[in-house]
Amino acid sequence: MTIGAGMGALAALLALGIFLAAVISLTVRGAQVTSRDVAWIAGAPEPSPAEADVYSRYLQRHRTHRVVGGLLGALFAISVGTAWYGSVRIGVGSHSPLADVLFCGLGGVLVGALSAESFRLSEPPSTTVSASLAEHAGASRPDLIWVARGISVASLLGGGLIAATGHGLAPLCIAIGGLIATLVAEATQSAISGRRRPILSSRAQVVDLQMRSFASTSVALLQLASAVLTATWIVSRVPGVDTGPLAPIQVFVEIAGLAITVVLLHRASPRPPRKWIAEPS
Amino acid sequence: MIVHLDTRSPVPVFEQLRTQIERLIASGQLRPGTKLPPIRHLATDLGLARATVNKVYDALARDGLVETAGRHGTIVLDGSKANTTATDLSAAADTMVVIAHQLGIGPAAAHQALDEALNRL
Repeated sequence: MTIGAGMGALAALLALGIFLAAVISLTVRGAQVTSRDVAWIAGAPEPSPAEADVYSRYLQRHRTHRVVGGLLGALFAISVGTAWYGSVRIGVGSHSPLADVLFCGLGGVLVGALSAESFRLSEPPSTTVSASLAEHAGASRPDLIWVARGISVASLLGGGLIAATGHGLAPLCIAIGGLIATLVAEATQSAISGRRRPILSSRAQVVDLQMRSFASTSVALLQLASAVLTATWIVSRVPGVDTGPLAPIQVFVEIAGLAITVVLLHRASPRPPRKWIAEPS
Repeated sequence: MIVHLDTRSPVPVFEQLRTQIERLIASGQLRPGTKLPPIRHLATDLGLARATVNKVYDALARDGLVETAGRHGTIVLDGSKANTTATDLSAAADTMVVIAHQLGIGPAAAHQALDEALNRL
């Protein structure tokens, strides 16, 4: 018994060590920015060295914050899963979403994106300041944001309906968790569009708009991924369906929801697609 | 449509901002129906407190130059009520000439400085 407990502790320590090594390795490797990455975010094959430096630092910041956020979210899910259920899972099931590596990892990535966007554009010390009265650019993919909002509201209504009919509060709690993720994404969009912008250099404006457009699209995709995953969880918890004639439909929706979430997460990634090639100017 | 504030100026930044927006409305560069940026955006861009920008928008609304349309933002109205004239520009030019004289700068250098300033905006 004592030996078993000792072995268990050793295994846990070993697993923690491996996980921390993976965190450090992934953070360092994942944050590295290549000239191809810079060309992708700049939308030009060879931006000037000064612009490339700005893009590179911005992308590195984004990647570091997102990777750290995602890994911390995954670590949280692993801790909860191990402590509550003695196992770790990815995707919907009988466990709580707090023990789902995908759900918590996605939440962590969203918080990481918010952290990456929460910076102030520094300017050289001066007694004069200028600003444009033109409107700030809005979200670059409002369509995705509206779809995500609609799905979040539908999830909340579904969770509320299940709770109101006396079938448990779990779906409602899941919907509230999804709503929190939506609010984090909305706060990130607000940080992206509301940040101070350069006005006196046309090149600086182009670089700034390019970065905002990338971040806005990426966060909109993350928001939609979070909303779809939440809705998938709600569908998986609809009572009385898993044994009836609707069971195959429920399974299909669950699989489709998870697949869509993974695709959206992949598309929201702050790195160019594998097949992307910089167009010569 | 650029506004430019000087924190060393004896004129309060509130008054500088109000006057410049008033001029843009009077000149028609800010046309009736144009939406002014939200208070928090303009305050962030200028590094001012939101209350200062809010005060400017309130003053413009009192003068009948803009109207606050709730969540639709602040909308520019007709610029005919604006209290600005072309003498503003000649007064500014006089100030520039005085500064150029005091600094010992000749007409060519003063013109060059003016051209550079115009190109920056």
